[in-house]
Amino acid sequence: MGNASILLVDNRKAIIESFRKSFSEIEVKHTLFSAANENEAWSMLDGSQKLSPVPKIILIDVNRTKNKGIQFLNAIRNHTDLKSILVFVITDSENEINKAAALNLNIAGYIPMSFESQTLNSFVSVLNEYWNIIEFSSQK
Amino acid sequence: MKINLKPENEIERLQVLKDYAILDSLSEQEYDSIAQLASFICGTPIALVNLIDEDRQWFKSKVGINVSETSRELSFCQYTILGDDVFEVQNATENKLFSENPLVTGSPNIRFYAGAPLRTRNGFNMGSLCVIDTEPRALNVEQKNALKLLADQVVALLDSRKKHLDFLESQKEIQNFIELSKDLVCIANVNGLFYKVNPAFTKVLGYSKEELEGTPFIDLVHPDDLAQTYKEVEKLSKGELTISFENRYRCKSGDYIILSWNTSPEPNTGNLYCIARNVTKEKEAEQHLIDGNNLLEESQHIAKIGSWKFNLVTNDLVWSEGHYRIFELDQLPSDQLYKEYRSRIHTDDLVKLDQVSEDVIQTGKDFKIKYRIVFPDQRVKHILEIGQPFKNEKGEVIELKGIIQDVTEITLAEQKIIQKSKEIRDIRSALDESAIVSISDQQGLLTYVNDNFCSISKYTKDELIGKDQRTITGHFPKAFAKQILKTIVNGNVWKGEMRNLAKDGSYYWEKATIVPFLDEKNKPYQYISISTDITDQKNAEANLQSALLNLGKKNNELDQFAYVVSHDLKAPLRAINNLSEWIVEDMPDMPEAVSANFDLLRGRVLRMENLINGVLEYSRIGRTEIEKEKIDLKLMLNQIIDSIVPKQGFEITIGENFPVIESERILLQQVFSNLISNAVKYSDKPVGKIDCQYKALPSFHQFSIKDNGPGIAIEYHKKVFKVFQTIEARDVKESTGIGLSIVKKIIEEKGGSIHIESEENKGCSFIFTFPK
Amino acid sequence: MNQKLVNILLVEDDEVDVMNVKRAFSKNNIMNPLFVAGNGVEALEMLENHIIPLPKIIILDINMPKMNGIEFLKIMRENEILKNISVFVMTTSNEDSDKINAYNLNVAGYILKPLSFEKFLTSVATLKNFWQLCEL
Repeated sequence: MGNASILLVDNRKAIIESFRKSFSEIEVKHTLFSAANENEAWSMLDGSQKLSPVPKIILIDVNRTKNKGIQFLNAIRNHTDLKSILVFVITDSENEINKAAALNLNIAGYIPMSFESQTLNSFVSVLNEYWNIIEFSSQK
Repeated sequence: MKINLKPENEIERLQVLKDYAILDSLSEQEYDSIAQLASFICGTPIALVNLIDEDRQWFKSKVGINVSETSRELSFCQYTILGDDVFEVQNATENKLFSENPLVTGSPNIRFYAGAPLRTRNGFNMGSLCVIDTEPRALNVEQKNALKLLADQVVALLDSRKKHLDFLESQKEIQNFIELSKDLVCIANVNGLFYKVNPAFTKVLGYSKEELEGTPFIDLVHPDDLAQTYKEVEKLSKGELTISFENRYRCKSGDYIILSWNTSPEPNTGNLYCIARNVTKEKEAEQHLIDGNNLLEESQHIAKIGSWKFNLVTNDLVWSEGHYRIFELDQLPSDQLYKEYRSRIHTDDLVKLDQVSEDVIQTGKDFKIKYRIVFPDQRVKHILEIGQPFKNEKGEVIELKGIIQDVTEITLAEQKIIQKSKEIRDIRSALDESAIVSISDQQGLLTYVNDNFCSISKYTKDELIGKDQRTITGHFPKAFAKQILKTIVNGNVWKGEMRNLAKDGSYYWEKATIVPFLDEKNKPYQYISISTDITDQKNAEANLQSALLNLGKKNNELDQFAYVVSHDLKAPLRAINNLSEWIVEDMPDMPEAVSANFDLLRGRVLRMENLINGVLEYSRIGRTEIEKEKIDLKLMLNQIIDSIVPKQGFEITIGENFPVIESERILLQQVFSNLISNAVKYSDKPVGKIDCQYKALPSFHQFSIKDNGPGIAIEYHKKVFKVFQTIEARDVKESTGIGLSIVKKIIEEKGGSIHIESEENKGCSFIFTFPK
Repeated sequence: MNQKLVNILLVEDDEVDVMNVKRAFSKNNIMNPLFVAGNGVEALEMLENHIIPLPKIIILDINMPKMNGIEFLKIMRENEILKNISVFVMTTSNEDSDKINAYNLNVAGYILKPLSFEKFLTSVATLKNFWQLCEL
C-alpha cells in the first residue's frame, strides 16, 4: 500500500483530463502525473524533470505511437532503477500491433479500455482497488 | 837669533787672523795699492802687506819681491807685531837681532826695515805693513805716520773684507736655509704673483721654479678657499701679519694639499715674505683625531658609557659628555660636579661607594662597583662603575679615573631572567609531576626523561639517556613515523596518540604533544615530548568498540530472531483462524455453544497475533535508527484521529499551539495512536471527549491526551505501563496490554517521560514529554 | 471481457493456505482451473515437464521449503516459455527485500496474506476483477 505515484503517458490532453477527473471522483489516493509522449515521460523518470519519488506505476498505450511505446518499455526494463516499475498497458485501439511485444516485457496487465467517462470510472475503480491491495517496496 | 817671539794673546790672535780668512787669498788690488803707496812714500824698493801666521809670514801684497811667504822665525815683522808702533831697523847688519838673518845676509839683503802693525780694533796684531830697503836708511816722522795710516787702512780693508765675507757667508747661510728648508719659503706680492720660490715649492707642489715665479699664486688656490685668501691678502696689504692662515693649493698632480702660511708684508713694496708649511698630514691627523673623538663620544653614547676623572686632593670631578648624558645633568665646573654626583646616588648605595673608595685608596687596586642613581622623578638607573687609581711620586693615590656604564636595561633584563627562570623551573616541576616528559636531541637521542616516563616505559633513566627514542617508538608503522618526523623536523608541533613499546614488551598508549625547539635559524635543535598516559582510556575505547560491535550484532540477531519468530508464530495462527472459520461455515447446523466456542477460539487467535505483533514492535523500539523529519503535529494528530476515532459519538479538541517539530514521525504516530485509540477503546460515555493539548517547556515538548472515560485509579498509575498488563480482564476488554508499555518505552528511549493524571471515574489524562 | 478461463498455478506449501485460496476462489466464483505445487521445485517440474497445462497466472508464495518463491521466480524468468507468465505474489513476508526482489523480477502484484479470511476474500475479489480487466 502506501502512496505511489502513477505516470500516465498519453498525447491526448482530453484523455489525461478524463483520467484526472476519474481519479478524483474515485478518490484515488495515488498521485497522477502525466507525460505527453515517451520522451517527456523518460525525462520524468530519469532526466531533467525526474520525479521524486520515482513513479511505481506507469499507464501507457503502446499502440498509439508505433513502436515508441515498446522502445520506451524496453528502455525501462533495461534500466537498473526503473525496471521494477509496474506497467499497465491501457489501450482503446483495436489494433493490437504491439500487444505481443508488450506481453513479452512482463507488464502487469494489458487492459483494453474505453475512455468514455462512465466506463473509465469503472476501469479506474477496479485498478484503484487492485492498487490498494498490493504492496509496494519502499524503494525510492 | 832664532827665537820665536809670540805676543801674549797669540792663540786668540791666530784665531782672529783665521777669522779674517785672508791667508792664502788671492792678491787684491786694494792691498797692492797700499803696498805701492807705502813703497812710494817711504822710498823703498820693497813694500809688503804681511800677515804673521803661526809659523810663517805671508805676504798679501808685495812690491819689489817675488816670494809669497817666508818662515816666521826669519821675519822682521814678528817683532813689529809685538808692539803697537812702527818698528824700525835702520841697519839690519848692525842689529843683533837681524845680523845673522839669512834675509839680511842673503837675498833679498835687507838693510832697512820699517813696519807698522796691522792692529785690529780688538788689539790683535795680525801682521804688518812694512817697507824694506837694501840700504840702511831711516824714515822721517811723516813717513812713519804715513806708514801707520796706511797700516790702519790695510786693517780697515781687512775688516771690510771680513765683513763682506761674513756677509757673503751669512747670505749663503740664509740662502741654504731657504733652499734646504722643508717649508715653502717664498716672496710674493700683494699683486698676486710669486716672485721667488724656494725648492720646497717644487718638492711639495711639483711645479718647477720657472712655472711658479712670476705666476699668480691665486691660480693654485682651491676655489673654495679663494675668498678667504683674497681677504687675507687684503689684510696683508694693510700691513697686518698673517699667522697660520690655511688654504688649499693644487699640486701639479691635481691633488690638493693644505698649506699653513705665516706671512710678513712689506707695505712699501707690497712684497710678502711667506713661509708655508704642508699641514695636509697634520690636518688629516687632526681630522682623524676629531673623528676619533667623535667616534669615542658616539661609542660612549651608544654603549651608554661615560668616562670620569676624579682628583682625590681637590675633589675635582671631570666627566665626559657620555657621563653627563647618563646622569642627565648639564655640564658643571669640576668643583661642583662631585656634589651633584653624590646627590644623585641612591642613599643605600652611597655607603657602599664610600667603602669602595676607601679600599681603593688603601690598596691601590682597580675597582668595579654597581650602584643605583635616582632621578628627581623617581626613575632609577643601574650604573656599573670601573676605576683605576693613579699614584703620585710618593706612591699615594691622588687620582682616580674610570668609566661608567648604564646597565639599567641589562640589570632589569637580568632580574627578569631570574624571575622567568624560576617560573620555568616551577612549570617544569609541575610538568614533571603530572606528565610524561622526554627531551631528545636533533638525532632523536634522549637527553632527558622524567620519572613518569621511566615508570610507564619500565626503563631506568640510565637505560634511556643517550639512547635513540626509537627504543620506545621504533615499531611504529612507517607512514605514521614518517608523518610525525616530517611535522617536527619542519619546526611544527605534532599532537596525537601513539602506542609505545615498554621494556617488558607490553604496549602503552600516550596522548603526546611533541614540540620542536628552534634555534636562531629556525631549525630544530631539540624536541620535547609531553604526554599523558591514556592506555586505560584506549583499552576502554577498544572494549567499547568491541562491545558496540557485539551489541550491533546481537541487535541484528535479535531483529532477525524477532521477525522469524513472529512470522513463524503467525503462520499457524492464521491457519487456526481460517480453519475454525471454515468449520463454522461448513456446519450451518452447529449448536450455538459450539459456534460460540469457535468464536472464542478465533478471538484468542486474534489476540495471539496482536500479542506477537506487540512483542515484535516492543522489541524493535530503540534499536532501529529512524530518520528525523519535519512533522506538522496538528496535521498528524488530525490524520490519526481521522483513522482511529469513529465519526460518531466522539468530540475531539486539539490545542491551537501544536508546533511543527523535527522528530521521528513513526514514533510519535505510535504514541499518539496508542493513547488516542485507548481513549476511544475505554470510552464509557455517550459522547466520548478527547482533548489534545501542547505546552512548550524550556527543553521539552509537553503533550497531553485527556479523555472523559472511566479514569484509572491512582494505585494503578504505574502498573498500567507494564508489559502485558491490562486494566481489565482480556475477556472484558480485548487488549494486548502492550500498548502503553510500548508508548512508555518509546518516550523514555528518546529521553522524555510520561505520567498519568487521573482518578477513578474522573477521566484520564496522559501527559508526556518529548525532548526538543 | 475474457471468456476463456486461463489456467492458474498456485505455488504454496501450507496446506491451510491452499485451502484458503480454494475456498476464496470458490466464494468469489472464480472457475479457472487451479493447479497446486507444494514448492518451487515441484512447480518447475510440473511446468517444464508439461505435467500441467501452461498457466497464464501464477500465485506464488515466497517462504517455501526446498526452493523459495524468489528463486523459483528467477528461474522462471530465465525460461523462454515460462518467462511471460503473470505472477502474483501472495505471502506473509512483509520484508522489503522480498518485495524489491519480486518487483525486480517483474511480478504483477505483491499481496500480503491477511490474517482474517474475510479480508482475504475481498482481496481475491479484487484480483478477480482485475484479471477480468486484463487480456492475458
